[in-house]
Amino acid sequence: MIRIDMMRAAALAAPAMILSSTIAFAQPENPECIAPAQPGGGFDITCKLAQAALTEAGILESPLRVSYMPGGIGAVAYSTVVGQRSDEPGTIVAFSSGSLLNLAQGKFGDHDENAVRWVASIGTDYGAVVVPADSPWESLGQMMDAIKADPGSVILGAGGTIGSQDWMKAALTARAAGIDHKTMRFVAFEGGGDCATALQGGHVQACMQDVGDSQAAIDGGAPLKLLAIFAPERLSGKLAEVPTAKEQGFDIQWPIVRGFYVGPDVSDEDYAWWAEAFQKAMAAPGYAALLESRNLLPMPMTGEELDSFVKSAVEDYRTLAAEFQLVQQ
Amino acid sequence: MSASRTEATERPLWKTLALWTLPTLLFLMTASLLLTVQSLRDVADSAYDRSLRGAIRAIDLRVSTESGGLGVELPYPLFESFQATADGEILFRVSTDDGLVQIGEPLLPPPPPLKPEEFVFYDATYFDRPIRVGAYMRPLDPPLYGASGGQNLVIEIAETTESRDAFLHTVMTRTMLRDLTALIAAMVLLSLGVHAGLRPLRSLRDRLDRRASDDLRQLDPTGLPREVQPLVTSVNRLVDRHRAQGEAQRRFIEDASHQLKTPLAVLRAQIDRARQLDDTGQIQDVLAAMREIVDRSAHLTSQLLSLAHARNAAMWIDGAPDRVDAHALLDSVVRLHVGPARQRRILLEVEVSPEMRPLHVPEALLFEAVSNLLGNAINASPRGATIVLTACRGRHETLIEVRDAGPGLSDALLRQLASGQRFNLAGGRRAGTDSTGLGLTIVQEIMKSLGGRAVLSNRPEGGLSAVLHLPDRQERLKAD
Repeated sequence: MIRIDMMRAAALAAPAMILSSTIAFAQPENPECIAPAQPGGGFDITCKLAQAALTEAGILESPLRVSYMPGGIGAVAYSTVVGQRSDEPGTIVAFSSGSLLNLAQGKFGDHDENAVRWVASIGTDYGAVVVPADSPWESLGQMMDAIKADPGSVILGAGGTIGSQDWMKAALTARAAGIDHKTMRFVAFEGGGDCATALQGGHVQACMQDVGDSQAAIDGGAPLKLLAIFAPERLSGKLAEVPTAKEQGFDIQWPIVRGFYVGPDVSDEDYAWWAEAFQKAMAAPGYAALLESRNLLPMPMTGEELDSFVKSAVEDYRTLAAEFQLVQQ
Repeated sequence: MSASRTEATERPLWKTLALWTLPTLLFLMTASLLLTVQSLRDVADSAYDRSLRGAIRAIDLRVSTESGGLGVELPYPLFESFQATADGEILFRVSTDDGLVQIGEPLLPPPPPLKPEEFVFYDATYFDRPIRVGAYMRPLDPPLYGASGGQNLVIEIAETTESRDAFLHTVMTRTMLRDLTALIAAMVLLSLGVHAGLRPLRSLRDRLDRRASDDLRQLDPTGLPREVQPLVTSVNRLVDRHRAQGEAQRRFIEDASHQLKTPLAVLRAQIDRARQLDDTGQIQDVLAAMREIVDRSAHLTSQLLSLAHARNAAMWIDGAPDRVDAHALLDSVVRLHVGPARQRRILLEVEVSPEMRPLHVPEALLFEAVSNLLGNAINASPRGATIVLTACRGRHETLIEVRDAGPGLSDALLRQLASGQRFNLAGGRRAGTDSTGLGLTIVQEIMKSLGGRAVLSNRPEGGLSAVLHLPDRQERLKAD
């Protein structure tokens, strides 16, 4: 079982949070948030959250521009920012724990976790299993039984290919259910948005994705339902009714940290400006509501603290990936 | 004859034809079916592959790199129209060859090495189901994230093969049905053809069945298949031989009864006369006359037997005739006739040419022929005459001649003999009390059976010359 200890990370972060009403450096030009997937997924939510928080806190005068750069669940964007746009001070790129998992497997090309500068994490999400509202399955157990009976007949949609975090959630569940994960059938999408679309079209039977993007789609009127959430205990609010995987006999937790990085050649001043900007935005009174509306939990980390968190998380993921023989040579 | 041979000979013609033709036909049809299946598969593949190619092109149009990333509009609506024509499942994968991007079914088997802008189609297996995959690769220009090496976009579309298998199955079933129908039609035509081809033979059989038992006419081969004509010719030859034999028997009986009728009548008259006589001396005279008649009849009977032998010679001459020395043969003939000749002071001379070779003929037959000629000559010659027997070589033949000093034969009789006509026993009888009239006929029959001939001619200086021509090569007498 994998457990990324978020609470410990959060506790360490607390003393470093210095509230400041002014930001020491000038705002970089053309602030832009790249969501490295198709619209509608977790990266999109991350960028939109930054957009809203930075605007509400009055840090940015005009809203942060959100752009999409799909390709390998962040791999293309990562390579672009490392190689081509390494010194754009205004460009932040959304990442999640999934990005760190891919980094750990070498799926982001020739670059490792030291190739960029990690700016801030702004919230945490949990993995979720989402199926159509009219799906015959009412529990995670039923779904795993169907896979066990005929692996080829159940197509699982995932944001990302073999080894991605969505695949990993399914593989962990399969392992817990006594199924060889290699017999499961996957279709890879560029983010949770496409998967939700395919789910509604009946092209896949379930999506292994996140609470945030799933609930966003359900809130948008999509006829979907959540079968399980990979959290240690039930979430609050309208998600309180969804059982955890652990409750259903699959002791798997999959927290997803969401945050941003900038290019390696961005100056210390600009990097500090972004870190401070996020510190300020996350300390603003309206931020909790913004998080809740996106079904996210707080996870405020910036600067050095996030950097060390990322490095230790990547190490943990390397271990996990090795368990599933996923690390690319 | 063994049982299997019997079976083979009794097998009906249509069965023989079927045994010869059916395996070949079946082989050819199977081969053609296999070829058809192969070409049909190729045709089906090229047709279905074309629609795969269309889907690849459509997906390619839905790939966008404008953001700097690589996005694909979900191709499911496209597949729905695609699946309307094919009842299978459509799978896809869009990826970059550096492995960073992979959208769609990540577990599709990896494609073979691809060349840019080239479509490749191949068969594979996916979750235990056979699939047909079309793969296409094109360079990404400009490459994503400014990658230094060339970067290629790979699009793979796969379809499960139920629909093309169903198509193939339908077409193959039809083809097999068609071939089977053709095979059955061929067999029907074959048996009809055999039936029609055998019709002349059946009518020939009916003609033979309707024939009277003594009807030994030749069969008319017109209208019969050419393959059967040699058989008809053989049957005709057999019929001829039977007819010849039958005629020989009939002639023998005719000759014998004709020749024996007269002496029997004379004997009856002599007996009637003797019964009326009281005088022993007279009875003795009658008995002496009867004795003479009985002697002649005995002679006649032996000559009839010789004739029968000669006529049957064709039946019993075998391949290994005697080696006959002509000189010895003529000497022994002369010794037999020296008694009667001496009574009439006739001188018998034998001349044999030094280059004579042994003759390969049945000695008894040749002896009988020469003996008959010599007997006739002695009877025909006047007292004190000279009869010469010569043997010499001719061109590829041996000539044996008997020359007498008698009156010769009439021109009409000679012509009759030369034309091969049978010596007329009744009309041709020479003057002479003890002549049976059979001699020349016997000579003719013997020479015929020996493959030679007898030539009679009147000599200019008077007397008859009878020459036997014996060819060197003793050809077996053929019945036809």
